[in-house]
Amino acid sequence: MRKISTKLILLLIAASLVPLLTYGTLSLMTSRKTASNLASERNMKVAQRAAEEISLYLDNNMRILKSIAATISRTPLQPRQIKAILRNTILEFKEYQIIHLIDPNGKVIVSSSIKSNFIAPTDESFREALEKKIPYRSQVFITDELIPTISLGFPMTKMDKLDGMILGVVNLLDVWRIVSQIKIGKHGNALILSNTRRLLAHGDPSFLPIIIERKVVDFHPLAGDVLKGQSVSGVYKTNDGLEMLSVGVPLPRMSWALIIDQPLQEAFVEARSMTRRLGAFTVVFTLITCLVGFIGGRRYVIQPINKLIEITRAFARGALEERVEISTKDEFGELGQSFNSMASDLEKLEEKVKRKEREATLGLIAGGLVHDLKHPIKNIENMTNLLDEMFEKQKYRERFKTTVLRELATINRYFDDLADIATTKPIQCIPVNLIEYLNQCFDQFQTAAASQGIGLIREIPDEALIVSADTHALNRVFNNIVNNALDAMAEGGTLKVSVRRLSEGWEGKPDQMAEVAIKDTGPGITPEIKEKVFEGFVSSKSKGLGLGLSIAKKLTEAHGGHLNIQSFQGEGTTCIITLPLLIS
Amino acid sequence: MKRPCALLIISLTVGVLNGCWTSNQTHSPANNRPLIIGAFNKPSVINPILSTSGISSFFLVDIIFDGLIRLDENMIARPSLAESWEVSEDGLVWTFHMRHGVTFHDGSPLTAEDVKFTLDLIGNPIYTNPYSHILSSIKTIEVLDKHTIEFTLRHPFQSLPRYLYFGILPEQNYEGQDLRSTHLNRQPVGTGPYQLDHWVDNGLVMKANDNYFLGKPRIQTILVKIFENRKAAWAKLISGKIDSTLLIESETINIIEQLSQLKLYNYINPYYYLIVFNNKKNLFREKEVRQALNYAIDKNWLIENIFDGKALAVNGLAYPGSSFEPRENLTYPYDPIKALHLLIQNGWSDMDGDGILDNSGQKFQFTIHLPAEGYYPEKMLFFVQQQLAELGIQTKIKASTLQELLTNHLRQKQFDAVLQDFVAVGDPDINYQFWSSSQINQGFNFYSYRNTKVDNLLEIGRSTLHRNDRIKIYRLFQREIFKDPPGIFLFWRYLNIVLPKSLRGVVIGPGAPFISIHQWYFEPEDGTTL
Repeated sequence: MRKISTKLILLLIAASLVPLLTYGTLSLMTSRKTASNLASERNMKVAQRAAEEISLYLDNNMRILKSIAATISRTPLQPRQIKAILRNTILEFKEYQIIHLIDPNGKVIVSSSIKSNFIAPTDESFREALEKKIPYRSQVFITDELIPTISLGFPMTKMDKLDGMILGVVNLLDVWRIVSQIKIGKHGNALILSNTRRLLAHGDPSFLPIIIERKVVDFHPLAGDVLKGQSVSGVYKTNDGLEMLSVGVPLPRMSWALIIDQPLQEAFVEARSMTRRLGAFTVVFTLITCLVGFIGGRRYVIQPINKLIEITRAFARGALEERVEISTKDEFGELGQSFNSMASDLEKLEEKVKRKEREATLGLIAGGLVHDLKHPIKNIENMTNLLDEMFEKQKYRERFKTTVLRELATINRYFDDLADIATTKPIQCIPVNLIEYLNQCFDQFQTAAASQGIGLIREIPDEALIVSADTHALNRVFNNIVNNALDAMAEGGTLKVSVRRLSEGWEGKPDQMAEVAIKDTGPGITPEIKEKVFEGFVSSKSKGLGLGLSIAKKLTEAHGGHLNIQSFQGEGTTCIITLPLLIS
Repeated sequence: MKRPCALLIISLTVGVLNGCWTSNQTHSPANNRPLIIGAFNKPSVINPILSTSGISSFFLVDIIFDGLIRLDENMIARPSLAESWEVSEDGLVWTFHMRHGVTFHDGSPLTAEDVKFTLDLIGNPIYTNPYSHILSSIKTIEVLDKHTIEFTLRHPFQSLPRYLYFGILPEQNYEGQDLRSTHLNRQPVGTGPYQLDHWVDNGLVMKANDNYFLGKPRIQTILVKIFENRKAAWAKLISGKIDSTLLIESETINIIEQLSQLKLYNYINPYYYLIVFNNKKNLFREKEVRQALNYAIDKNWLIENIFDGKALAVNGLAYPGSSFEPRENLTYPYDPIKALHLLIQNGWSDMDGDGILDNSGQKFQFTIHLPAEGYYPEKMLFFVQQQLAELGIQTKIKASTLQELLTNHLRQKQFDAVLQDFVAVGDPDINYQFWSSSQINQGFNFYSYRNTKVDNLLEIGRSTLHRNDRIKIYRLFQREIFKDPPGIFLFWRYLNIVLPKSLRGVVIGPGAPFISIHQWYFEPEDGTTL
């Protein structure tokens, strides 16, 4: 087997290694060029996206003016109302500082501002905008508070005649923000140039003075082409002799240029790191190929065979639920599948047997319930039958109440039993004199025993044995044990209860214990049943749940005690309960 | 003669230098370069009494002159030229003992006569100045000896020392001069840490006063360069050609913050903004109506959206954090429903359906005046206008010059409402002149605000001696004035000062920005601190 897999692995490695190494070498040779192209391309993409974002920002602001223009020209409004509209707009849109309504002659009629004496722009393009009824965009102006602003105007027309213009002063802080957020590598920055070659924004704050002073800058060789509307990229040398990889895109409708400069050195840092990465990749891939070959060989050849062997062995041991896990679709897979279907058949057979067993147990429980519940229900029935005749009698009513309540409690207890077999209820202990308690308890059994012709012998001493106990729980313990014993002596016999103090420690525990032994003279139980007698649903009787001893044991243990059974066939059974004494 | 707005501006001059009395530390030999400060307007008058605006009032008079006292960061009066003082039991006679050995920049010694001389100038009606109101409380000024001066008051005035922060002029130099036109306004002589050395084309050169009584300043030279406009100065600041422009508007902060060579210091400007009503007018007669207008404004929205979070809603009229600040929250929450409710209860509802509330024929409309020179974001006013309009209250906003506002509107009491800032420097007794009804006819209570409880509390506060009692009284006063608001309470704003990051020893606090200037020094170039 090993030999087959080894051969297979070597074959795999050889087949994949040769083309990989060839590809790696070729890639390394071309990577440098690719990387610089990549840097340029990526910068271009960033520039385009930023340009779009900025244009969108300005377009949106223009749209606001457009909607004001529409509102104003649609409805005849008083200046006061127009002013309110302008002011509301200013409040709603943070970037707006002032909005004016300008008449066709270029005079400010209404202004949002508190101040007065505003003069409309006088530049050429504003006049042109009025004449041609087209949107107006001013040069960028920096306020005394260092806020870059632009005036945007949207014409209002009525019957195709100019009716005025809505002129808004918008702050461009968001444009600055967009530009300063573009950081490529460590020193790659974006900048915006206006058509008058003024720097409008720069990602490097040290250029702020140039922006504020609005000097005409001529440092960018790409500016000319970009301002003509072309997207270009290239390399140029700055005044400091630094080589820059530069890309530029025009901003639609604004005649601005957005340029991203990145030192060539830095752009190539990436190229170099890419070369290194490619080399590393080739090595890593070779290793991975070898590893995959090795693992694949093991996984697809050796492991399936091993698995089949293992499962066959497990089957022999009787672990029928085991399955072969071979997910491949080759011959191993087929083999595995037929093995599994065989296993499934076997397991189904096994399951049928188990189901039968379970059904029998259920029958046992049901039978036991029916029997045990019959008595309390009968009692209630009886008392109820007397209702009509005896209702007037006080004593009857009292009996009725106590009987019905008691029997309902008994029924309840049965349900509790069923639940209890799984979980133990918390018990609530109080100090109880065990002797007194047992005397009372066995007084109650006296009649039942007598009616079955069973004698009851008590060997209960006259001293006080105080235990900490839940009398309800104890009731159930002794009920269960005594009932079992009575059931076991259907032909009559003697039930002996004896109590003593175990002054020596029990199972090495120094505490003093009380021991209650209940001995019947029934047929006794077989060793097999004795073994399972505490597991529940086991009974030598034909009736009952068989839960009694199991519950009794649990409850005794919850008191810190023990329940043991001694039994010899033909000699009867003895249940021994030990409980720790509270006061020694 | 009395000009509250000017007072507001001038109080910036507050000769307040505080705190650091120890001055005898070793001087750094390293990095003795000048501190270069950019200004936007030419300081035409450098005079502690007359300078009211720009760099001369905010900076120059602060560092050239000293007052009898200085206000510390909690605005408590501390010794300056006066070493100690005491008051007679009846609270009427104040004796100030002056520091010995203090000299003016020209070497002549400072005496009590100079103090009397300066106070006489302040009281001279031809010199409009913000300190003259102090003299209305003073009956006589008597020079007991060279270093002791005694004031006898007309009535007990517990907070008198807190007003004596104005700079002291040397009698010898200024005597016989017309203060308004003297050449000394360009060649001032004081006792402060710096003295004017000479003027240059675009500014002035300040030299350290080696004999300064708190110790020789560590920075030898301060150059003040004057630029055409703020923008130009800021461009130089950003490119590192100058060290500071001192004050920075909040819009510019975000930009300045990006620059590694600068550091911003901010504190709450001790002025609160109020839209005060003319309480005489029918519209504002009812307390509930004035309360309603307070409930109508969403101050938190304004602070977040207009002031970028750099403002604080007015809660009480005492400086935030000072001991007179009320302990409970007095601020009116934004609750337009409650506002409407109060208005309806007082008979205001829109009966004719024109969208404006009316009450027996009168419409709820009024004009808010404001000084055009004031620095208010317009959007704040538009928002107030909008919020009032939502309740059905129509407002107009009218900007006029400070002078116009004072002479035509405030003094004549011909206005509906005015947006104004009120100084909170020093003692809460300052509220007396604005809100006591005794000041309606002859004082600064242009708003005809009248509340007997407020009157009583202000009166008691004046003559109460114990500080803890006064705190209780002024807290009661603030609770009362908020319950019966004279106007719409708005905000405190932050003030920002920019200085080079390499400058050490800087302690900047409200009303006392240049308190420690004699201890400022530049960190040596190699980065080691001393």
